[in-house]
This record gives sequence, C-alpha cells and structure tokens, in this order.
Amino acid sequence: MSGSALAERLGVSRAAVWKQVERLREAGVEIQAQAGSGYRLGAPLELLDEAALRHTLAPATRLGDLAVHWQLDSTSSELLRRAEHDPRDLLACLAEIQTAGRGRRGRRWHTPPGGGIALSLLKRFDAGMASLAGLSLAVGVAAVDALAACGIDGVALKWPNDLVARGAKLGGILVELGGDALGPCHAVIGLGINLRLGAAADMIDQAAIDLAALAPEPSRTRVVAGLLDHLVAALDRFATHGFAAFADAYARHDALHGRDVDVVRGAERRHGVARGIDARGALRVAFGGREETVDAGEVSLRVRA
Amino acid sequence: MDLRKIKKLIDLLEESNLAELEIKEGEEIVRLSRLPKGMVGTLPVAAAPAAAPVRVEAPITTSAPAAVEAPAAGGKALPDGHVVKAPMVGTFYASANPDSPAFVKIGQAVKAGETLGIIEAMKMFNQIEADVAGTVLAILVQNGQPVEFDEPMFVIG
Repeated sequence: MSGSALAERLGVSRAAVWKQVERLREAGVEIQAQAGSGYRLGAPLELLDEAALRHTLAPATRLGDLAVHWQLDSTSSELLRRAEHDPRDLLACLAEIQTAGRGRRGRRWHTPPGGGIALSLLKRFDAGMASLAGLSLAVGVAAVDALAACGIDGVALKWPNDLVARGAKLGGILVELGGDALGPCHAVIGLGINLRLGAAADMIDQAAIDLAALAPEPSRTRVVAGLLDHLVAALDRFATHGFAAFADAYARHDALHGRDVDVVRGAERRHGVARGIDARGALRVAFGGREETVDAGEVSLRVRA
Repeated sequence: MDLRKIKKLIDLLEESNLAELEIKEGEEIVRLSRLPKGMVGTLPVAAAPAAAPVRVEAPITTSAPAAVEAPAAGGKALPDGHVVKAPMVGTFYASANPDSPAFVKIGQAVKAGETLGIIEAMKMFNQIEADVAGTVLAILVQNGQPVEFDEPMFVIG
C-alpha cells in the first residue's frame, strides 16, 4: 500500500506515516518499501485482540481477567505486581512487545512484535509452595496438548522448561511464585513460544524453531486461546491431584528419555543417560550403573548428538 | 491457693536446682516440674479431686531458649533476630541474574517485602522476601547452594 494512500486513510501527513513505519521497524516489524508502489509487511502480522480471544476461548474456560498490552516489561512481572492488589484468580496477560522478557536466569528472550506469543497466567493455590513441585512440568504437558489440538504436532518437552521440535527450541516456561510459603500463594506461569522468528532467529544463541515451520499459517488467536483453555484445565487438575496426574503424559512427551546427556553443575560436567522423571518431576539420570535424580540448580543439559 | 503463691513457688523452683516440686496444702496439691531445656509446654498439675483444677503457666516460658536457636549445619550459633527460612527445596541465588549484584549484604537495612534472594527448583522461581523490617545480621546460604525446606537462610534483627 502506498504511503499517500495510508496517509489519506488515516488522515495524517505522509511524513507521519513514514515516521510510524520507522518506529515499527525499530520495534522489529519487518516492513518492505519500494519506490513507486509503497509499503508491504514482510510477513503476515496477526495482532492479538481481547474480544476475539474471549470469543475463541472454550466456554468452560473462565478467566478472572484477560488483558492484551502492546508493550510491557514482561507479562509475568505485570502479573506479579497485579497479584499484590488484585485478589482474583486466573489472571491472563499478553503483550505484543516485551522490553524485559525473561528467559532462564535473567537471560533475555527476543521476539519481534507478532512474531511470538508472550503469555502469563496467574493461578492461586491454598496449600503452600511445597505442594507445587512439578508445576512447571505440568504446564509443559498442557502446552504440548494445546498445540496438538491446534494441529501443531511434533512438539516435545526438554526437561525442565523447554518446548522443543526437530531438535530446536520452540519455547520456554518460567514459573514465579509469590505469597505465603506455607499457605495461600500464587504462581505466575510465563509461557513464551516462537511463532515467526524472521530475522530475530539470528539473535538467539541456540538452535531455534517457530510454529510457522511446523504448521501452515498458524493463527495466533487460535493458539493463544487453545493454550489458555488447556492451561486453565491443567491447573485445576494440578491443584487437586498434583504432578502425579501429569507424570504419564510427561513421559510420552519426554524429548530426553534414553538420550545421552551432559549434566553441568558449575565447573563439573558429568555424562549420563536420561531415564525419565520421578514422581516429583525430578530428572532421573543414569551415571554408569547408578541412577541419580537431578532436580534443581544451575544444571544445564546438553543432549549429545 | 492463689496465683501469687503459685508464682512464688515457680520462682523458688527457678532459683533452685530442683527438677520437681510438690506442695500439698489442705486438699490442694500443686506439682511443678522443670522440663528439659528447649521444650515448651504446660506443666502437669495434679489437683485433689475435690479442689478446682489449678492451671499453672509453665515457668519455662522465661527460661526456654528463643525459638530462633535452630543450629545451622555447621553448628554455629545464630545472632538473635528474625530467621527467614527456605519455603521450598531448591537452589539459592543471591542475585537476579549472574551479572547483577546480590540483593542484600550483611549489615544492610531492609524493609518488609524487600527481596533477599531467589530459590529455584525446576524452573520455578520463588523470591524470598523479608517478612519483617530490620538489618540483615546473617546470610546463611551461598549463591548457587542447594537449600532444604525450612532451612534458615537469613537473620534479620
């Protein structure tokens, strides 16, 4: 569409159109320009809309709130702040742009606007934080199920918090806890999924894949609604039954089972074979003949080729 | 037997080396016994059937060690103050990410609700907050160290 047609449609000057196009480019939106014919999006851009999302959610999915922001520091940070003064349960928060999206241990998580899904959901629990062991894994199971229901197959879980497909990272899960350690507490579940990485793929320091590579024209609205449907149902089940209700499903989606892995803890690196997970969600690894469980720590796993 | 008398008996027991003291007066019997140090409870009181039951607040509320005297792994005594314990099993992090400075240092004043550190387990992150205002008197865990449930982590006084 030409710059002058855009200016006329929006009732602004051509210079203003140019300025806004530059701003979108800075934000990471791919916009091609050709002299004489105008501007064109480099890739389809489907922005999220609250009304459309509510309409697409399953009738059984009752959220306390659903908010779509253009830009936030991070959807999880927003919900952690909200949790202090908003007593409702199941608050959902999405953002097109995150300026301080969090990866593991403070590492940055990059996505261009519309190129990914940044979704956080707040869930309240009564029984204290000790009852939440394995929650991040249960969320992973729900995410894989949700994607499969949208026709996106081949997604598996790399313990503890990665969604992977074809050996590359598709997304990640990060859970942050707040409230009373022994009583009423809340978990903010953050989910980041690559939809269409484009040039951003080069900024990520590991093999990455996006939904566009797994399915033709994936709809953001449909995927987000599906994720919320499955997450809400899974969190209810988790509150009642804990991780035990998800252990079998996790085993089916376990990308590491039987794989050679290096378990790195600080300067120490040990080679073993992943043997699934235990009842709490800890990873079982066989080192030589002895099996140990790995459940926390600055443990990074390298899957051996 | 009135409360003042019982209080006096308690003081007597406190000052003495006696483990137990039984006083009979008419139909009333009061038996006071010293519990082993560290135990808190109401002393057993025997009363004669006809008399109204007498309850005695345990004198050990004054001699009982403060609840904070949970010995650390190394057996070090903790400074007096409010102990912040680990709400879950995981790994302790003193900073938000490897490049940031620690949330708190010994001697630093903290407000209630201020972040002291983070515990992580299977990508679940829990910000450990000060539940009282005060000064950080002790930090009992090191960055990257595994912590057990209920393990003392900070002393705030």
